[in-house]
Amino acid sequence: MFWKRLPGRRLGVALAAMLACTAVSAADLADIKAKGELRHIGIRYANFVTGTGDGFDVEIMQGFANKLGVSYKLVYSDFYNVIRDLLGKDVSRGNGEVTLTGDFPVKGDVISTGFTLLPWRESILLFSEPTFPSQVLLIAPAESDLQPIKDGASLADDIRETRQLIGARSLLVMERTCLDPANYGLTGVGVDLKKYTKSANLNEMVPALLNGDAQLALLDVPDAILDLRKWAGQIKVLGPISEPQTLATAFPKDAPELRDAFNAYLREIKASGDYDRLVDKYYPGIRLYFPQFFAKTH
Amino acid sequence: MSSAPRDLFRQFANHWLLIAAGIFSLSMVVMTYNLYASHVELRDNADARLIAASDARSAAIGDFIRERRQDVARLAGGEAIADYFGNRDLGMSVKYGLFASLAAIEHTFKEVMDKDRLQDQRIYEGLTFFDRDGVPQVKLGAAAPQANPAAEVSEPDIAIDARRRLIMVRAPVIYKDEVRGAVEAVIGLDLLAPLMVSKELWRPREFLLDNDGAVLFPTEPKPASATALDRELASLPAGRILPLSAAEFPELKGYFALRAPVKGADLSILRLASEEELYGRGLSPLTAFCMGLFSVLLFALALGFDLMRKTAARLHEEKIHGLAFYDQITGLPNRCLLIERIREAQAANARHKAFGALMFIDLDNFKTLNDTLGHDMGDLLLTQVAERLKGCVDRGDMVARLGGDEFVVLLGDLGTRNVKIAAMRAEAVGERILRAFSLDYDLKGYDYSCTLSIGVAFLEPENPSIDDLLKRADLAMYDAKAGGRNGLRFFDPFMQTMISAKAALEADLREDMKKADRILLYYQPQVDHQGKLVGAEALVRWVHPQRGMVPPAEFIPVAESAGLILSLGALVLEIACRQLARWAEDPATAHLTIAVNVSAIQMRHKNFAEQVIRILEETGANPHRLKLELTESTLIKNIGDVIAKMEKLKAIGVSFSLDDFGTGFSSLAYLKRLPLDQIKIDISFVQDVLVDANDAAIAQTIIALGHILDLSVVAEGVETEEQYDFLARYGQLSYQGYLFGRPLPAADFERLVAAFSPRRRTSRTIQGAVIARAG
Repeated sequence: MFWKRLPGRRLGVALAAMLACTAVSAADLADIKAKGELRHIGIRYANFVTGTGDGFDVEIMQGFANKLGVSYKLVYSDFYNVIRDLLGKDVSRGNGEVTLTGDFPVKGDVISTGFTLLPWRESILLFSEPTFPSQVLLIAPAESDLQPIKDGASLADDIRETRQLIGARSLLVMERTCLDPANYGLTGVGVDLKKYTKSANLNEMVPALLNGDAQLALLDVPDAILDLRKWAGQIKVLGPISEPQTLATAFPKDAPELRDAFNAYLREIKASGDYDRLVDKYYPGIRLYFPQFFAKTH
Repeated sequence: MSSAPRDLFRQFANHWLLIAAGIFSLSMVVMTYNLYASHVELRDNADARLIAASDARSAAIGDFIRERRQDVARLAGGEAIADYFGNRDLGMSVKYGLFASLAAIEHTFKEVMDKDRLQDQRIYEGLTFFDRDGVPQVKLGAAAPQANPAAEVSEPDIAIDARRRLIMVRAPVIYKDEVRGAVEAVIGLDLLAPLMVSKELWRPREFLLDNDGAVLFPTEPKPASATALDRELASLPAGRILPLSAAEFPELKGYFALRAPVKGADLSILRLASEEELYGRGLSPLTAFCMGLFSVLLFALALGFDLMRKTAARLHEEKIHGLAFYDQITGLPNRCLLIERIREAQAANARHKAFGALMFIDLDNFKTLNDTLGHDMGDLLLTQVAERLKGCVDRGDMVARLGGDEFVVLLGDLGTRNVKIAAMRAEAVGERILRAFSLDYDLKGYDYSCTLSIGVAFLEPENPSIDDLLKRADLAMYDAKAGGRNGLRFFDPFMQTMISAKAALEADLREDMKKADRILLYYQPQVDHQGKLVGAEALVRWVHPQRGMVPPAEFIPVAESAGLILSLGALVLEIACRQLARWAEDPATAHLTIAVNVSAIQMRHKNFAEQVIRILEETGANPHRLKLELTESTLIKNIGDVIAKMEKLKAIGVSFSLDDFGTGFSSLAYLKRLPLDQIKIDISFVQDVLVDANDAAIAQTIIALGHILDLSVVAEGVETEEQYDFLARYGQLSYQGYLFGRPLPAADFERLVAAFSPRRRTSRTIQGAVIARAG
């Protein structure tokens, strides 16, 4: 019955026609509203999508759906299939190019899952304003003879020093995720990469490391916050591997209104303090790490 | 058996006052004690209540403090901080890794700060986590003002900042056995306000003090009485309600203080209360003591009163006893007591068959002393005699006074069964007494020599009659008297017969006086200076049916002891008057006078004069022929009375003669006053008139006296011519004596009269023959 409320029935009919044509593609705002449901693609990752039905992104999306006046649905995915579930096409990267192939069912309308804003992803997706900061760190088991870097004059110095630590050791990575070594120029530089392929679950990086799958591992800050607590005393952060990153919500390229609506919503909750509440709820201490990012929000 | 309860009842009745007072006092004491005890209990309860309330308060605060300490300790020992140090030790920098731990710490702190509330108010004003160097790593809320917060905190501790009104709770962070830092919580002191609210209706002043005495609560302006709170109050001994001394706390005089320390912090709950607030008005120990004392005093008073009563009763009894059994003048036991003692002694002696003795002691001439010096002196003498006698006997023996001048000494036990030895011992005592009495007495300056006559009789077991014993002793005493006074005589068994004989004699006399011709008068001639027979002295004679003539020396005492003297006297007068009447008929005898001896007893008789007059009238005798002979002893007492009687009789012609003149104590003044006609020189002077110059002088003097006073003089007992010649030289006397004739019965006397011619110095023989025949 929502569509009865829409301004102008005719527009609505036109939109409906459009929707019918683009049945296989992701929907934009009108479609979502017409459908009456927002499907949120989430990957079980840190506290963004905890897997128990809540999470930082889950709550944001729930709020967004509520704001739109539609129902909310969480659709689980993983880092290998997440884009395919949104766009209905598989992603392959090669030689700096990203190609979409295939034809798959579209399972959701939006990706919000602590999704890193990466250049290659930007070429095929529409990102919202940053929802969360991140960074990738180099971690090692606590007993490792490697010592964490001393804070350098700049981040670049820190990154360089950290990279030097790797040397010829084995490094546990996870492709297609924010821990993809390709993102950070770690491929083809003589680093002994150990690709974790058992799953696309970033939670499993630390256990694997501790298991001895590799001497070192990459870990993102959100995970690190949680894992430093979970595996207190067993792992240590050696230093940064990447510059600070941005996490944001991803939309299909053809859902700009949806994206805009989301941005509006995001600004709203940042102003109201709901956003801060969610940050503190799911990532206590993250502010300490990214003071600048969160300073903006205050 | 029934007497025991009766005795008990009697005892009870005797001491009723004491018992009543005792019960009263006891109940008072019990009541007072109960009152005091319940007061003490009340006080104790009040104390307990106060202490309990204070303890509850301090416990509440202590619990709060303890929980805070636990909170902080928990935070300090929490996982988040431990992780932090673990990560730090791993070398992670804050930027890359430690931030997460810090974030976690901050999260837990925030949780605690939000969640921990007391009555909806946040407890913690600030929580800070410091590292070892005192650099705050995580800080939430307010921090403690001092610069050096975490220096060497090795244990959780509490600090109170009274000025800023903050409580700082600190706990060390110990990681791997090392102190790596500390967690500090800041709590506002005012948070304790709800805990300090009192729900009691009655609340003594209550303060929360720190150890320096600073008042943390109440925060309102303190009442004037609490301005002196200081360190001393904060350091009072805890847990006891203490009175505050005026010296140390002048403003708090009269107040009690109770300090309850708060466990775990340098705090104390101090409660101040005045005595009245605490206990109300009640019984002070002083009042209770006074009440108790009062009842004790009351009891003591009753005791004293009872004692007084008893003593008075006892004294009264003793007095009666004394009166009953003791002589008032001398204090010696009296007859009653003596008889009792004699009985006791007899009973005792009956067992041992020992001898005891009773000594009757009579004071010689006591009556004379009484008559001459008066009864006061007599009593004084008796008292002194008593003392002297007591001094002469042993303690076991008794001195008693029977009355008058008679004393008795009871020698209860002479300690022997041998009568001779008993006699010796008794005599020894008697001699001791006599020797003691050889000393004169001092009667208020008057030297008096007192001698005794002592009669001793033995207590005989065979004859326990006390009457007989007393009689025997009495007789022995009389014997001693008769033996010349100042001597001791033992009762002779012969005397026993004398008692009976005496009694018999008395009876006989009484009988014979009723009969005619048993009592006769013998007449001894009296001759004048010319030798003419002028009259006779009538001498009474008793013709006993069995014994014949009883000598007057014997029967006069009998008459006296039988109380017949008066009747005898009257009888004698009668016979003499009758004789006079008969002689009046014969001219040969009509001129004769008869001199009749009149005893003092007769003279004392009220109606003596009337009696004589009556006899004269009845017999028809001529009063002028009647001469009454008086002895000096008659005249000593009541001379006025005597004179009156004499005058009465003189008025009708009776003449009076003074017998035994010179032997008594009568004074010459008496002689002047008395209407005498004649004095008779005593025989004792006449007998030795030739050999004793004194006697001669006395005789002469008496003759001269008679001449001067115009009294005729008769010399008694003239037995020799020489005596007669001697006396005749000094005056014209009359004479009486054996020289002139013995006492003769009336008939013989009349014959003598007929034959008698006036005596001449030469014609002696005829009269001598006549006399010899008549005698």
